[in-house]
Amino acid sequence: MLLYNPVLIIIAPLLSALINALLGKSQGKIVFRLGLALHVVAVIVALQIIYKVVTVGPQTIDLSFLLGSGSGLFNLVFYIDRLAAVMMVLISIITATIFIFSMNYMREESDYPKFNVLLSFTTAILFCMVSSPNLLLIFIFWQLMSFMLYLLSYQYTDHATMKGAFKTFMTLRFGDIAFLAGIALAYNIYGTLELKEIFSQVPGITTTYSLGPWFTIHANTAITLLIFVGAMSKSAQFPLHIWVRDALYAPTPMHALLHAGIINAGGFLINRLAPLYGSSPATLHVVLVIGLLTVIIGSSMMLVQNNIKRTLGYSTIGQMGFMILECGVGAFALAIFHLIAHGLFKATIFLNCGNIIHKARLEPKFPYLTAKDKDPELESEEDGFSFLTWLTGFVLSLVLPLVILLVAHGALRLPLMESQGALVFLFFSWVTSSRAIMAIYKAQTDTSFSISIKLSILMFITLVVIVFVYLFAVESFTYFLYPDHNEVAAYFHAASLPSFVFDTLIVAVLFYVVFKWSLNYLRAHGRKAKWPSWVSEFRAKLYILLVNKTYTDNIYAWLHHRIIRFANLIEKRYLRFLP
Amino acid sequence: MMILTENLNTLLSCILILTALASVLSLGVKDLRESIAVIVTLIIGIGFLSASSKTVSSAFLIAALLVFLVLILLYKNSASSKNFWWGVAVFSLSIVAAVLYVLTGNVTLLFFSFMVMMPLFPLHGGYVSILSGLPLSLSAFLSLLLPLMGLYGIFSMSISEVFVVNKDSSAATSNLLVVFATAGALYGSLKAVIQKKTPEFAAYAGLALYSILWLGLALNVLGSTSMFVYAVSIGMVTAGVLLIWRVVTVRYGDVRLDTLITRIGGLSKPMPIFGVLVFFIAWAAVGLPPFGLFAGFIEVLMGMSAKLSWHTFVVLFTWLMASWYFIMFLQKVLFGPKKLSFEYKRLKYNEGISLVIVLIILLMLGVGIIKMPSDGVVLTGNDKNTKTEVISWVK
Repeated sequence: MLLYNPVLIIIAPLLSALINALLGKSQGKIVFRLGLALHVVAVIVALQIIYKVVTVGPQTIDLSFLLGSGSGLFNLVFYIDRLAAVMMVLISIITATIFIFSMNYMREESDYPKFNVLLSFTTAILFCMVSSPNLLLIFIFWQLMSFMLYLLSYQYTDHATMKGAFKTFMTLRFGDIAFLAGIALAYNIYGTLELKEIFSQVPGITTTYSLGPWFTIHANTAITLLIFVGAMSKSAQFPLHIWVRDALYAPTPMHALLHAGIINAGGFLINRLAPLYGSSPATLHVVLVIGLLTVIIGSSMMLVQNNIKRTLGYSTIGQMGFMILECGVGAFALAIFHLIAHGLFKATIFLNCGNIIHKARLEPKFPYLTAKDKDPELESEEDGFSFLTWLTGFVLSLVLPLVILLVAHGALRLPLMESQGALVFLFFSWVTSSRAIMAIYKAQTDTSFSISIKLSILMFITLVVIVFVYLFAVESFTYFLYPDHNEVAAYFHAASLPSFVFDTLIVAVLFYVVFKWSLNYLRAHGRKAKWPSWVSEFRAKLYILLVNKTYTDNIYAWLHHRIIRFANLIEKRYLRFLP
Repeated sequence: MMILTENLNTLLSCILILTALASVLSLGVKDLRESIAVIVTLIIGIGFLSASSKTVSSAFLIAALLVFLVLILLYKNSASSKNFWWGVAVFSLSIVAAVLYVLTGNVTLLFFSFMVMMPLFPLHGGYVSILSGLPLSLSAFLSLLLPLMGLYGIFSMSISEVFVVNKDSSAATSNLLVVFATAGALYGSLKAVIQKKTPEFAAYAGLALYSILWLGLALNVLGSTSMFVYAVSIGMVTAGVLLIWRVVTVRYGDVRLDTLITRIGGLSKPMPIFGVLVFFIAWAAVGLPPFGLFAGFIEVLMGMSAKLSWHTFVVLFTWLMASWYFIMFLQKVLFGPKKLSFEYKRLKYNEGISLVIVLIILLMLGVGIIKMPSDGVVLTGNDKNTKTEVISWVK
């Protein structure tokens, strides 16, 4: 292939950062265009790389000569396999798009070159991180990313921004330290930090740690749990999600980069260490619980926001919860599929949210236009109700759980992948399609029979497409990233839940779906559900809890003050005689 | 028995000369007395490194340096009275210990001096008084010189004799060191967070970070390369912080860290080159790659991973706290609105060069261009669990 050299993918954004730093202020537009050209080069090289990786095999970038013989803990060598290549394509496309967008959006900013420097440097770091074949090398770029997130706050003269940036850095640093502890433990157990060597040793490790008479933990579990705390912080998992909201002071393109790129690092990390995580069912179950909690909390908090950026911020937290949850059920490749889809749509939304805000200023009810807003002649909400659409949506939402339960209990066999994997993919198909069908139902403003028929067909097509995407496209993608079928099956097996837990989960979600459709029906007929008083009180309390960000910020503030107070007590009272 | 090679001596001497150059450059040509003080301490330091095998000469040089420092402390003290008296007392004891060593040959006495020089809780008073009580350029150089001499002394003077009376006393000494190092790491971290004056802040940050090294020494799990990279990096970081602060105080008076933003505002906009240099030194101080502190710390941590225990959590907690106070320092100095009515003064060339020297040394340590010779010590064996070179303290 003409002019193919994988090292260009790291050099191009670095060069862009360098020329923007040195000449951005004086040369302006020419330098910005040159920067853009270098980002386009990165996209082209990323596409070349993925082609090479698929046709030839993994690619290597050897920069070890830069560090001499190194420390012995790692060599500066990058290894690009399919996972790294996919991530490189995603990152390069998103950052190039953001670069193009910001050329117009940021041109009035006096510090625009600084933005380009940060964007380009972050891109280079991301490329290095996704292609690192050594745990310490990943960590090096991982913590540089934490620092870049601090710097991406951008408005360094604004007090609130810097306060948020500090909180962001410290939360991420907490995760970094846990990650580092995991690395130290891994070095102690495996005697190496090279991923290939670690993975080859994983099955043979029998070391356990005893943390008291009743608690023993396997070494693999301890390592994966510590590293997972690092992933939690970067991917904003509860309770380390607090930094996302405070990072929202930065300019819009920064958000696009953060929410479409950097925040996905947790999902990537778990995928990169899949053989390690696959060896520890206990960790995968913890991952599942944390992901589930984050989904619930992130999505719930999203509902109580009155600001589009915050709404999107909490939506990202919810989506990251889904991504981690997918890892927790052993569907590692699905998490990558999810982060690609989420990255693309969230970048689009963030880059467009300025337009939405502008339109909302002109039309106060925009974008929440109801049927009655669009057609003021409608007398009641019932006039906007179509029983056919409602029934179609309701029934279609119940098809998949039936299939899932049949497959789960062996009454039905799908000629696809390993049954546990099929179950997982069906479950996510159901959750996604239910949400999409509900959105189609709510979008209906014309209740004529022909429109209702069309929408019903659309709902059906949506269900089929989503099921198809999950069962076939995702399956193909899974085998693209993990060509060994047995490996994939082993991950699903390791993450499998006891059947009663899985059934309970299905029933709970099913109950929620039925409840939601029933509520829609009642509302459309002008009726209100009669809640017991305790439910109303609980809802009020829940609302207050969510508006107050589940008080996690207060807990962190309390902890911060306690440490300062304790330090002051030591200085002024307990050890005041000491220097 | 450890034998330090010429390579290590030469390398450390070069780093000391460059740091002294940075300190002197930051002064310009006006303050001749402070420059002379830096040069005198540099000569003593290089003399100490060269006299590694002549223990009497080394003890004499230690005593000479400490006497010199006590005299400067008495002459030009600006530390708080508590820090000042602690400093004078600890240094005086250390001088007595060095002299007694010359008379008796008991290495435990010399070890006491090293505990004072490379700060170990509760003997850190001398280090704190030097950093907080002396002029900033001199204290910047001493923040590297004193701990480096302490560490070098531990390696060069058969200090293992301290631990070889019998196995039990060796274990007891080691345990005692672990307790002191742990206390120092926690105490230094907490004190650094609440300091309102930068020199004190740098001193307590140094205490906390050197305590990690003491912990590694006490656990007997570290290789010589990692120790020296880590120790020099801490010295360079504290020197960098003090030189940064000198730039601020020379222009705007002795302001407190917590009132800096309200009195002067953020310095990143009005002093952009200074801002960039402060930014990179803070980058190094937070313990991020590609600078020396990160490289040294990782090697120390991996060395300590051979004996994973609660010590590891102390080390990681100290590291987390370092991120806290160094990033706060960065924010307080650089970030904040520019005061329109305030008259800012640009960074002078000599000051800029002095900060660049600090940065270059930190960078070269980080990427391995300055690489401590691993044959700097004779290694006596490998622990079966230890993946790095291990220095035995037992003869």
